[in-house]
Amino acid sequence: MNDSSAYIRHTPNLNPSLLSRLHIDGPLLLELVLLSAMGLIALFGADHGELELVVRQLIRILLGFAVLVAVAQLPPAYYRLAAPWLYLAALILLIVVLAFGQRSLGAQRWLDLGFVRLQPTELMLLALPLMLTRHLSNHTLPPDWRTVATSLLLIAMPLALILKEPDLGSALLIGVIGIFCLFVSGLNWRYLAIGAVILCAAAPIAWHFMHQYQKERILIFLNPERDPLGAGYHIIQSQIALGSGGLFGQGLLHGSQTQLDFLPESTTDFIFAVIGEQFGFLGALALVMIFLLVIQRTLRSAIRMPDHFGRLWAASMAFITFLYVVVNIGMVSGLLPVVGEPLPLVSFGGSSVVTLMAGFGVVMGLEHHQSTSWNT
Amino acid sequence: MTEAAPLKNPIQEYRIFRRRILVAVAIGVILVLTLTFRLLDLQILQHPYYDTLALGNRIRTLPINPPRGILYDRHGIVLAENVPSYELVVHRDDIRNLKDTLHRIESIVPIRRQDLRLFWQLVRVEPPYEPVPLQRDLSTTSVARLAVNLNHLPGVSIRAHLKRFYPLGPIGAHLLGYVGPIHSGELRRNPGHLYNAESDVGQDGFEQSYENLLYGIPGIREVEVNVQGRLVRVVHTQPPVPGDSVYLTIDARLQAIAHEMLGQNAGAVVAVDPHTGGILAMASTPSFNPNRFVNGIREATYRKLSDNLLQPLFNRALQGEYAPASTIKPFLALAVLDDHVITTRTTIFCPGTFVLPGTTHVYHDWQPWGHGITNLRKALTQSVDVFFYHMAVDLGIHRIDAFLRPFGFGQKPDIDLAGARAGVLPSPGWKLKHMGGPWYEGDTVISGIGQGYWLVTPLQMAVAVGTIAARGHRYRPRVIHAIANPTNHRVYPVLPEPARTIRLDRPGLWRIVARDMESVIKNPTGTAHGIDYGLKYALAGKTGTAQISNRDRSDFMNYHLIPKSERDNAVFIAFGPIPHPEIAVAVFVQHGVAGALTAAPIARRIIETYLEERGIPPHQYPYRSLDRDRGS
Repeated sequence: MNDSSAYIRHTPNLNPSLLSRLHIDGPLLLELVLLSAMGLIALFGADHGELELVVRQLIRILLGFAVLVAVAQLPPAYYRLAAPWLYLAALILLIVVLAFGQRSLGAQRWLDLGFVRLQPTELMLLALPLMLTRHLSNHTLPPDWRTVATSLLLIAMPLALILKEPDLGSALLIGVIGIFCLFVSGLNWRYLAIGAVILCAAAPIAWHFMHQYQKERILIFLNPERDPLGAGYHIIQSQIALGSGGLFGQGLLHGSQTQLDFLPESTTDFIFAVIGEQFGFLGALALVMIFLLVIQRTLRSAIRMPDHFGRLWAASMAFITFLYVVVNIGMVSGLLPVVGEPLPLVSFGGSSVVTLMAGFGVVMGLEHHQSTSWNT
Repeated sequence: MTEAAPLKNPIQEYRIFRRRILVAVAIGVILVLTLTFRLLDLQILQHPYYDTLALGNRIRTLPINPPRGILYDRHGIVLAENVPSYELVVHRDDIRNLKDTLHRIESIVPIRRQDLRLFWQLVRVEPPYEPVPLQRDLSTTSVARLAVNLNHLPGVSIRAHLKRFYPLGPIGAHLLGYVGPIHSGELRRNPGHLYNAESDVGQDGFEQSYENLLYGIPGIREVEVNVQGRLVRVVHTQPPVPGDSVYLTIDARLQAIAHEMLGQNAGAVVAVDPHTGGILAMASTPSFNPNRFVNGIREATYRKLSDNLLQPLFNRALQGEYAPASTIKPFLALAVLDDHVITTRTTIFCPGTFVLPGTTHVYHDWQPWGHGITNLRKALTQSVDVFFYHMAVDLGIHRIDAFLRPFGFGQKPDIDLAGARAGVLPSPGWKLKHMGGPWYEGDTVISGIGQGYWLVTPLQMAVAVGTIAARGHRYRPRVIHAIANPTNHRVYPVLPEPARTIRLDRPGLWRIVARDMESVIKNPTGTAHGIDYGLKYALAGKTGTAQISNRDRSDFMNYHLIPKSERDNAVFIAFGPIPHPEIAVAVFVQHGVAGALTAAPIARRIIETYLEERGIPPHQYPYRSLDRDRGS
């Protein structure tokens, strides 16, 4: 059967290289390194040529790669075993953050552990798909209504907690990732259609329950000139930064929007605008291309996985990466509202680098371990 | 397999997964393409637009106000200049505790309470990156004391700019005018976009009339700023073009003498060069200090000036309208001689009164017992009213009107300053229009001695006297003498403009009247003989005393018994030297009792000073040559 050829294609490598012995996918690692490097250059440009942030980010990235390699060494059974505990831990952390978290900009998202500021949402972003992957792959596919219902419950719990923070953007990401897991597992189209109808009907009610600043964000997105010096300022300035970059860009450390601080959040959420201003359309396109290569490589792994657990996880990782990229670039270029999601591995920020690297480590570990299906 | 399978089917699971992934990838491709097109649109298609926006973000264009042209008198004495002025400026975004900083400043230099109030008002309005002035016009000691302590006061700085300064203060204040901060209305009109909120603009006098010449063209400083609005670097500077400097026809010395001699009196002096129309002095008292207006006058100071009963802000030389009184007589003398009403030998008996034939109203001479047999010379020398009553009646009001109009009476002088008034040259037409009544013969009688409806301004009178001095040549009066271009340092003289030439059938009449006017001073019976003592030059003059109340005018020597506001106005006109006059003067002293008493000495001193300055030797004119003229 042609379809199953991929499933039985895997043959043991009789002369394994170092990477192979470490269960590391070379091309994916290279692409991630390339991405991190571009991120560091952009950070250097965004911070007026200062090295402080670059060094701090470099340390995080190195830590991230160490975590990646370490995670890849674990046998796949560990991931399955770890999934419920990780999910539970993330859930508890979300509750803790609601109770004791640091309040910044009106939302409780951070947990200050002294040495690192932990954002449990980031952890949940991986813990939830891992949990869903385990749950879905434990049952027959396509999932029956019982499995769908329990999956939805798994999604709903963290979603509610994150909404309570409040963090509308991350809540939406969590929801979308959960639905994606169900979708690629073969969720009946009919369920999807019903869900879509319910969502549309609920939208006005949701609007009613939204916080003022969330409503404002959406309105500003629809018309940034509504408040050009206030909430619309971010969108306008980042579009100016991108637009003034042109085809080839203004060059590293050039470009008035970044260098004269007109662009807000230039080292974190709006770093893509820095790349666009300094390296132009070609630079921005190159970055998108590398992201697409990472996604392509991860999807390739997904297709080659021996079981549905591996497949679903790899697909989730590809999707999370893709979602971040689309949401961030969409936001920076003014196509989407300002939701405050970083550009993975490029934006300055700690926990997202490490968690993402861990996620890719799992993908590599799953693909390279000579694992057999546990459920057959 | 439509029913739920009890067992996992790996191949079917793989198929489903692959199909779903393909759907997801398809959606993903669409999203990525959307993003790519968005980037393409922003970065390539709309690049010029956003590039301009980025430029607008970082580039600010700041005006550099041009230095205003300097005003000199005809000899190069500075009348108005630009001097550096220092102001204390506070940059709030460099200051942590504004109140604490203010306390520390106050411990170094005193700050006026109203400046402090203005400061807090500005703090509330201006954005935080905008520096706010705390105290304008710092004294040099304050600047020194602050400069020493500036390093202990972060966010506080001293800013220098040019301020208009009038070194002579009240002397010539009406003539020069002053500059002041631009009004919002003027800024809104803003011709040629030359002005900004910090511009000073000429508000009065010469400064206002020649604003375009003096202002110059502002320069531009393009600076790059960061998001806080702080200057990062200067991109481009285009220096301003300074305004033209101007030499005025004014002689600062004469101007100062005029002010000095008018003293506490309200009055005006105008001296004119009869051969060019150039105003040599134009004084109006009481005056004011124009420097008070430069940084915006305080309301209390302004109210004090505007509420003053003597009206110090009023330019009497241009706008004060007075009865010319007897100073109109030389013009009338010209008229009767030119119209052959009389000759120089004609005599009239003056009994001290005049009655119009067929009426009973008695018109008095200023000397109750009369002057006896009077010819024209005696009539001018002793200012015989009865003689001129006769002349006026014989000539008739229409001929008086027609003859005197070319001298500029009753018309707005075409001077290069704003606000000059026209006065009144009485005529039946004028009376009908403005008083709504018919003309009576009696009106003609009193017009003959410059009373009744007559009104002239000091400027008009000076120009008219100058016309006699120049034998009928009248020039457009002006105060601009030459323009000095500050860039190429060239001086361009402004040429005199002839306004009108009065041609008499017998040009000798000019000399006859001039000589009769000389007799006013020279002759022991002349009304202005009082100024003859020690007089170095041959001058022509005529006194005038304009009646204010119906008091008996005969005992004017006891004027100090009369309250000041009821004393008569004193007028004196003069020119000299005979036979080639260089200067003509009109002096008006409000409540000056008599022309000979208060006005004539001013005219004498101004003329003498000017002629000495010009290096004209005293006693120059040969008396006999004039007598020979007389014989013709």
